[in-house]
Amino acid sequence: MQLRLNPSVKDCQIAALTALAIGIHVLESVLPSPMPGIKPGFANIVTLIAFASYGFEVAAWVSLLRVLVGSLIIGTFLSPTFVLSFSGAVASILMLWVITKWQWLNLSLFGIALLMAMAHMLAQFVVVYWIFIPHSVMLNILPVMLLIAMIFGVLNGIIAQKVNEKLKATC
Amino acid sequence: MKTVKVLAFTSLFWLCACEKTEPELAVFKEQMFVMGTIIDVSIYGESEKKSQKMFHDLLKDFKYMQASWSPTRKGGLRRLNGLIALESPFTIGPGIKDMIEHSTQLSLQSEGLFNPALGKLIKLWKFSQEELPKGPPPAADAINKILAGNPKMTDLVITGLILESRTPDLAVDFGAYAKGYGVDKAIEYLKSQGVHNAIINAGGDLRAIGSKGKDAWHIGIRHPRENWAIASIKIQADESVFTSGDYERFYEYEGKRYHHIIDPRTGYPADQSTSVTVLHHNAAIADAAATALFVAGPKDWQRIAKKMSVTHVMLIDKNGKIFLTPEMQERLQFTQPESLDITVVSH
Amino acid sequence: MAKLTTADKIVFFVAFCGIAVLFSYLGSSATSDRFVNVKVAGEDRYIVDLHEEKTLILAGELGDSQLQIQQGKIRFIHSPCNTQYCVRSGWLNQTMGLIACLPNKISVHFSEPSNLYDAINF
Repeated sequence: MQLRLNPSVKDCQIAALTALAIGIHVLESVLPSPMPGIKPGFANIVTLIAFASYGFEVAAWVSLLRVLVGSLIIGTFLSPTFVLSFSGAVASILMLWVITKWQWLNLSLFGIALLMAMAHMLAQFVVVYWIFIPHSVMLNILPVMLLIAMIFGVLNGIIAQKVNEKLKATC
Repeated sequence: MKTVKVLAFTSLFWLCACEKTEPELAVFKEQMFVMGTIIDVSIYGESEKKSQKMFHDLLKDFKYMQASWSPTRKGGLRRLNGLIALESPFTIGPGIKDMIEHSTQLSLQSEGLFNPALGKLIKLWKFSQEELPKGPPPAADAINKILAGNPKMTDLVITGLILESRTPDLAVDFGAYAKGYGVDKAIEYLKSQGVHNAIINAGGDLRAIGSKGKDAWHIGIRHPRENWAIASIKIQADESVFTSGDYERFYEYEGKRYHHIIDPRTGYPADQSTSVTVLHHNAAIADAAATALFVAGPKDWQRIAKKMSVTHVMLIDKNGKIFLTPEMQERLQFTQPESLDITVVSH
Repeated sequence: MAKLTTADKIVFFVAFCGIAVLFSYLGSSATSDRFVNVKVAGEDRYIVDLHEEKTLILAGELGDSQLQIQQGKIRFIHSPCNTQYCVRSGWLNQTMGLIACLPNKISVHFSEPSNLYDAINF
């Protein structure tokens, strides 16, 4: 008996984008980073494009699936790294949801990327502080981490914006 | 086209297989409180989990050593001394035999200035018990009586695993040797677990192996009277740094300081030195040598150091004058040399 | 490049200011020398903030040791030991990294040691 799956159009969109996001995520994990937790997070660009092209639901799936499958491939599933990645992803998706509810804000991908990045980093920081290192000396690195998140968030936003324009032009 | 896709996909997996060698940038450093002092264990290049496990194993080992070698607590050494007093042969464990033989050799090389057979004298001065004595010092008669017995390590005769003492006036106290021996054992354990870079620091006396990645281990040597580093030394292979000082265990009584390093010739604390620092591979030898050279003082330390094959020595005499061997001068870096009176001795 | 909306600019500005504020707030206190760990019998017991001036009374094996915190520094002022080595050591500094009353089994070290030396010999 053959199993017949009937993927919807949305499923295909999610699958394709997620695959791309996972690829970028895994490649990025091979790059050395100066400190644990400092990554450009280029896979988020895919999340942003997914949002711009297909809406919130697709973007949410892409992001969460990317973190899940990515961790399985790299081998960090259920490790502390995974807990952090996942919390960050959940927080940035929640932020995205809030943004969609407040459409009147009229943010471009630039602003959205920035807010998502900050939410991501803040959530990771809270998790580290509450669960791993409940020590007030951790507060020292918070501004540095947020600054880095801001910089990379802006960078990702710019790239996502450009790619989105190109997509809009060709489709 | 399909093959290209498959190849591209599988190569992705290979990329993941590349070991992400996350260098252990941090040194694992933990303290334990045992043998009446703080023992710091530093390990570099091992995972946190493995280091924690080794740390706990070391804690168990040190607790065991504490029980075995304490002259006062119920354990191996107390048993040994009790049986010696009974004046008939008895069996000993191979561990103690090892210690007795090695320390006997060191005692001979030091011309008896390091003499673990004077346990009764140490007991008289009460320095080996956990709580420090307050004075007054023991009576001269009691001291002389013990010295008259002239107990030496060579009075202990070992045949196989049977020990016989030629005199009942002998009691063994490994105070000036046990720490070094324990540190050696701890390092051996770490090496057996595949550790290449570590420091075991038992209350200020330490042995360091390997290095901290590219950097050598940087060891500070405390000023004998004040809380700053008078000098520092870099260790990159396998070396021990041991210091014997008059400030470690002492009491003051009627204006005079009585410390725990007793001169076997007089029965009183040696008073010509403030501290002696020895650099040597073996920690047990460094421990015994630091004690012997402290007792030897500025007059005899060079001769004794040669006999014990110890080449890296710093002695600070009772006036704060510093003497160094040229080998030690090469290794030590003084933090404020202008304020110190330093003499490098010639061979 | 596409247009940056007003909202974008506001978000950027607010984030930037927020981070700057955090930097100034946390950078002002020399945090590396601010917190110390107090251990009793080898176990971590307290983390103490040296910015709060006070006198600490700690129960150890022999009795109570008193530590004074003043001007961002800490030292033993009373201890039930014989040698009073701990009191004699004076203020805790990053060079030595440790003050302790061994007979009373109380030790104090910086939460973030600056690691001038990997170990101290004495």
